[in-house]
Amino acid sequence: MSKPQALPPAEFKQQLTEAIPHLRAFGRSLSGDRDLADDLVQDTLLKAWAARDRFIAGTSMRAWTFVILRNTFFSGMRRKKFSANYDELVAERVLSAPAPQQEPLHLADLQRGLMELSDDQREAIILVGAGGYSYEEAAEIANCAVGTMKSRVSRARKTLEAILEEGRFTSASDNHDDMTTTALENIIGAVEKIAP
Amino acid sequence: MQPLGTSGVLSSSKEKTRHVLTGPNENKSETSGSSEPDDAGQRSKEMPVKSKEDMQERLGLGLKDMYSSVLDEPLPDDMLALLDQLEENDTSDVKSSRPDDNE
Repeated sequence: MSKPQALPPAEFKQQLTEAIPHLRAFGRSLSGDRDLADDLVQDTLLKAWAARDRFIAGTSMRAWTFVILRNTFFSGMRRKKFSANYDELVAERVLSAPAPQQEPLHLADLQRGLMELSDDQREAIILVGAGGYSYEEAAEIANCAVGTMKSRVSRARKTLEAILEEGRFTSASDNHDDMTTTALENIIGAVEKIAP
Repeated sequence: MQPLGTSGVLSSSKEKTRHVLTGPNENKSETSGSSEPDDAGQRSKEMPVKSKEDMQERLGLGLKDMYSSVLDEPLPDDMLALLDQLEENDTSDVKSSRPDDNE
């Protein structure tokens, strides 16, 4: 095998810089946490730089660094400060509604819904549904078969739709049957049973 | 509404994609290629319940919006500084690679 052509440092740096916004978007959607995502991106930049000899000129820097980021994320540093502490400013933001008469989707709801998906499905829907990557590109990044990617995306979509539908119902003011209440009532009920 | 990946987010080398945030009314309802019967339009007007397609569309737009709004943020200075630092290290001491924080 001939040695793959490496990029000169300046050019590598340039391409890496261009990948940063995408890494941040991917990382933030994946982790649900702005700060954690930026840590993840920093980490990715370091690793990418250290491995730059292995980057083949002419291939996609974005895909290459996405692999580094998701591997880093899935291999450990997640779960650390990873308990749904959504950035409140961001959470307040309302995502654009497809038509004026429709209720807009709240970013917080969407992010919460994403976090309820399995890692595989979350990654799939983010890459394809949010990032606009093709199934083929997404499959390459996630290191799975294209068919697997397709089914992950479709299952993720279904689950998310269900979660968001539910969310809307439970947030309706006249509905007392939402999960939080029920859980709380269960706990109170249990405590009352235990208490003499 | 199927091919979510058609907007050239990946393939174009432009840094910025159009942001979905602006112009919520700009609904690209694609009535063209779908196999929908043409009473679909009036049906959806009459139906008070939010259809499944409605949710799918909101989800699709919401996802893209969530993602592209991050793309529009300015680059954090510390990341740019990090790259500058890495480049500087690289050119100044090519030989003295430090294996201490390898993984």
